[in-house]
Amino acid sequence: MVMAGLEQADAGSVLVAGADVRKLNEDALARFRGRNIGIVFQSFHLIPTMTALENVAVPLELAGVKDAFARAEQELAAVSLGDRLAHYPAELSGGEQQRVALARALAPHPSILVADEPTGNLDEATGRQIVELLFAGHRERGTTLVLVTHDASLAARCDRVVRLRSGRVELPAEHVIA
Amino acid sequence: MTALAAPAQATPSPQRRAFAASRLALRLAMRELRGGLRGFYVFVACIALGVMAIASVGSFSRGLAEGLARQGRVILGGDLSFVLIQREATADEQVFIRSLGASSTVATLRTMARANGNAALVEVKAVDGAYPLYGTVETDPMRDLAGLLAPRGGVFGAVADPVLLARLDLERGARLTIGDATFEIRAALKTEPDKLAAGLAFGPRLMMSQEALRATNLIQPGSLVRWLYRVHLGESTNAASAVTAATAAARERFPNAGWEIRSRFNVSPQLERNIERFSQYLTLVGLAALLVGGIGIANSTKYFLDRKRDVIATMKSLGASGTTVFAIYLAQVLLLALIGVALGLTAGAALPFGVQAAFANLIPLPFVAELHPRQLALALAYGVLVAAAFALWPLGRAHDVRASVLFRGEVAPERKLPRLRYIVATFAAVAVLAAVAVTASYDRRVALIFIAAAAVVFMLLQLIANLLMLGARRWPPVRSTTIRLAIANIHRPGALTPTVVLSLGIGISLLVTVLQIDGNLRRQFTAELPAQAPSFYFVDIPASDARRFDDFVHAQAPKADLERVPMLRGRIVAARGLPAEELRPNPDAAWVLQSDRGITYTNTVPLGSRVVAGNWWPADYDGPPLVSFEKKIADGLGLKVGDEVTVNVLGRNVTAKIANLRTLDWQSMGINFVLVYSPNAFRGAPVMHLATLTYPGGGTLAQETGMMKGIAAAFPSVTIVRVKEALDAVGALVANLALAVRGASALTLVAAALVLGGALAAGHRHRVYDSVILKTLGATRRQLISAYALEYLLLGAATAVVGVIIGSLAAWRVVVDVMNLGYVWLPGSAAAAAFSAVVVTVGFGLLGTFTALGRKPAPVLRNL
Repeated sequence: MVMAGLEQADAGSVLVAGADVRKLNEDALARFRGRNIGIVFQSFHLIPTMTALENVAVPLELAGVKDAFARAEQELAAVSLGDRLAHYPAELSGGEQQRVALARALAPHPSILVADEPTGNLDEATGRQIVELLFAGHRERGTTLVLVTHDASLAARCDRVVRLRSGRVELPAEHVIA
Repeated sequence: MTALAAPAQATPSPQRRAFAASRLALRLAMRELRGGLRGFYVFVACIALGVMAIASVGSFSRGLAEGLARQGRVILGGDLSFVLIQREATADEQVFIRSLGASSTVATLRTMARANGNAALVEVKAVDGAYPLYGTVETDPMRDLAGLLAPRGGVFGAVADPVLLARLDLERGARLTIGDATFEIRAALKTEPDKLAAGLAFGPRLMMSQEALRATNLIQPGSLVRWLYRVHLGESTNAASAVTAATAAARERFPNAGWEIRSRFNVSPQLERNIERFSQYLTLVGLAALLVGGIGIANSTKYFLDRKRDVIATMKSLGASGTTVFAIYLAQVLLLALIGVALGLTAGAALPFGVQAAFANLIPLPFVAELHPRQLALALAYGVLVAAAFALWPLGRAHDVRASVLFRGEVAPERKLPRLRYIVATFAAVAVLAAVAVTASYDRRVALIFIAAAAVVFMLLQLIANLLMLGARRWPPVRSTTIRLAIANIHRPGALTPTVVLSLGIGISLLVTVLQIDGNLRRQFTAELPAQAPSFYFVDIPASDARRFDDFVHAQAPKADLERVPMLRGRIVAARGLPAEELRPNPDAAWVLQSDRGITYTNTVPLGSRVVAGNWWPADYDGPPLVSFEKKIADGLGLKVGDEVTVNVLGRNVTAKIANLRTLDWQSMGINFVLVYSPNAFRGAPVMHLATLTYPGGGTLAQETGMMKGIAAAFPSVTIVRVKEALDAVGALVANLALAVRGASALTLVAAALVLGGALAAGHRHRVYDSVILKTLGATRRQLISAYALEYLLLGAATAVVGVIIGSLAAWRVVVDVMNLGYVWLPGSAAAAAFSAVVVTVGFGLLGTFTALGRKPAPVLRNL
């Protein structure tokens, strides 16, 4: 949350993508997120009054991208939802909703993709599909993927693991699992 | 890594950026609105209700003004009218009037009609063959008017208002006597085109020919006959300039005629002013309803944004700035406000058409149902401004909803106040709203008082709501669970307390104000006055008959108090060396210059008067004419002791110096004159007397009827005005006006009920949660209902007490300061308003609670 500028650290400095997020005000943080961070939530957090296409287009529209809808359509096709463009979140399954959320997070081509328990609300098979899509996004776009999870086997697929307990980093850096 | 496409090429200008941002906000707002109007019905209804009230009042008012303007020549009876009191136009004047165009002469006076041993006050209208120049007189049976009024077999014909026929128990063909002449009723009068120009009538109309009027012998020097000379200026293409030219010519040729000249463009300035003034009061009452609705607007916006916290946080996590979020929700609120405004405008504009279609025959004034863009634009402005004033504050808080809401339900304490820019914007909207209210008002002083009062009442009620919550929080622990629950509900976060106290408090304050003023006015006309007011006014008592009249009355009513004074009628034509038209009186004194006034003369200070400046003249005073002026009116006209006042009496200008100023008690309804002269001012003038008769403790019906019959038989030329009947006529008018005001005030209660309903609906989930948890813990439905009922009862009662106090104080100031009347607190109407506050609160509250209590715990708990 600190990395995404959603929560402020009490002290010190936080450098993310070349910016000290502690020095940014609320609006500057919003712009920073729009440019650099894509977030996938456990509870999807799609906007219920917007279609899948519109949900994905929102961050692009906010950033002033002219062909927002064309890009959003491509992103949805990339997560195999090209036939669900005009569906509202309530008309989609949990897995589909999470794929829309992933497309939305990836659409602005962020340098960092933060996924907060992305499979927590999904069944195992669907969760696997989502994880594959996340890693594919990381591989194909060079996006740094920051995965927050309780699933040790999922963590094992990552390049680096930082364990947190009660808000503190538990293991020193040299104990990082490769 | 792929870079994000640049927001736009080159660097766009700030205007282009703002335009693009607005378009984006609007686009996103429209998508958001797909969620429907849930939770916004109250918002839309509050605006629609207030806008409808203001739009319909404005449309009615303009419709009446238009009606008066278009029907001007019909109501006036001509394009131009010369009004003379107590004298006919001279031969020269008549030649001049006839030279302007086709003319018609009408004479009016109040007198007694006698038949079957009964007598009734009638408003006589004596017409010539040319009457009416415009419009038609409808009679039953419909016949040529001149033919109906012509003498047949030595008896004149008359056309009478059906009310007169009923009062004297007459039928068509029956005879009645007026003065020395006998009339045969040939037809009933159905409509009279120029009726409005005559003003308030104390008796029914009796129409006769002028030849017949002369035969009554009622036209004596000094008798109160009004002569109206109407002129048809022809169908000129430039009617206004023709009227102006004719008026100027008349003033130049006959500067001392003392006539009142009215044109079709200025038929009844008094009536127009009254319509303006009355519609302003109604508009302010409508605005009060809109302000009450404003609380609903603020609540709806707050509840809406609370529900949207996740969406707002999501937008922020996707890169939306606080300003963008504010703009998105502002656009939604404005769109919804416009829906409310459109509904209100449609209903408000349609209402006059509906009323005209349904009640055309019952509207006593000429009325044109039309769309009045200016009035509708004003209502629109009020609607949008109230929406902005109440929605900006809660909208401003959306700016600071944090994206971290998405990770945990509640975030760290949000800032209590929105950012400064939203506070400034809120106050700017309030300031513009106040400026519009003042600018658009007829009487700016009243508008300013309203705004100040509204601001004070708002702050006071907010303070009281805070105090109530504080009191409840600090209340010592009580054993009863029911009472403890009720008290806790009054101060818990999200309690109904501020909503109920503010919305219902304003509604009840206004209702109490209106009811108290209304009740006090009614008291003036019913309860209070007759006890001290005279039973009769006797007008046009010939000076030669005055002594005989006194003897007759004393013989009939030895214990009654008879007061008799000489009376003439005169118009103030100049003061302080300025013509009356150039005097700038304050609104309270303007009426004195608008028409002729009764004047009298005496050597002694009149009963009920007190000299407060200057000195009364000696009993044997024989110098230049002196006059005593009523203090408040003199102040209103800017006159002081030593100034000169010129009054035209019987066609002669009499200039007198103000010797002193008096205060007098207008409410006594005794003989009160603004102008009292030294007797030498009118020596030798033909004078009629005016008398009042007061029975100790008020007269009985038998006493008054007996006296009326006796005087009518013995003094046929004396006009008898029975005060109770005159007061009934005025009282009926006041009752109708009061009904309209009460109707408009009731709208504020409807708005308050809406706001309360909205708040209860918004808190419904909370109530369901509370009741389910409490039921799970063993609370019975009875305990819960008792706790909720007690909560609503406490809130309703506290609001009622506050509303009654505020309303009574407001009414007291209005009655004493604005109406110059004595104030009596009326517990009945205050109790009725208080009761309605409690009923609305408890009724609505329990209505919302019953459904919450009906829910089974299991399904709710599963979904928590």
